[in-house]
Amino acid sequence: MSIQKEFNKIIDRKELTLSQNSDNFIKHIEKIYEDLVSTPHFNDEDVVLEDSGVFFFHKETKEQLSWLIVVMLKIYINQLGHKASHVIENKTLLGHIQAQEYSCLGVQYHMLINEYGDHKFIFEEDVSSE
Amino acid sequence: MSQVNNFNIYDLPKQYLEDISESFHDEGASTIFVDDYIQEIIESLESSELHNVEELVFKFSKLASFFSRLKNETDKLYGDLLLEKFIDQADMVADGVIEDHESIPFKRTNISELERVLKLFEEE
Repeated sequence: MSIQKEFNKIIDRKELTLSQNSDNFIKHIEKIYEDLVSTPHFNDEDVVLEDSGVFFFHKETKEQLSWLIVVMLKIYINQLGHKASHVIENKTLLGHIQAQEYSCLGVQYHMLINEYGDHKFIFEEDVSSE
Repeated sequence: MSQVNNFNIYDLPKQYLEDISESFHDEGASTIFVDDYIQEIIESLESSELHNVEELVFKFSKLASFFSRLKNETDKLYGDLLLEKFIDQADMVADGVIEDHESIPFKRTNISELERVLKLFEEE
């Protein structure tokens, strides 16, 4: 239980680091995410993403796998302190990652996500200046 | 039409459903393992013709899809109904219609902070 608490804790950082290896890793993970979310899946059927070997049948499994990637990237940023938002192009994934980066940097924000996955941020410093 | 290998595929989950239904409201009931029921069916299929098994895979896939979607949509409906009930209860407690007690999970609170933030998003 104590280990889980540690993993859930946001690690405060003054800045996030840049690394080519990290950027390559994140781009690779984003590719799998893109493959998952862009695969049409009106009726459940066996789908194999050939580049990664990821396999699923149910639409719900596809959505759960996509969310797992978001969670893993958030943990990656939190635990290793690497910046990721500068290389991510998928707007939904980018929103989740920006939120994690803001949290790690101690930025106070409010976030709204619409039905298309678009994220909108309002920052507390903007609030206090009004 | 759905008769393959001398059995009706719609009858396959019958015993499993009956057995788990008995434990629906009984937390102390022993765990029923779905794999035990599946294993029994698979053993009965082992001597089947290839084309029959292929047909079963197709039909089971469609059934799995149907029940998976149905389960998830029913779950959403259940969640919506539960949320509606809890909000109504919170309103009734706040209005003094019913007494607050442990089984009421929601409390009606001051929503001015939420309104302030939503207004900021609207202005943005």
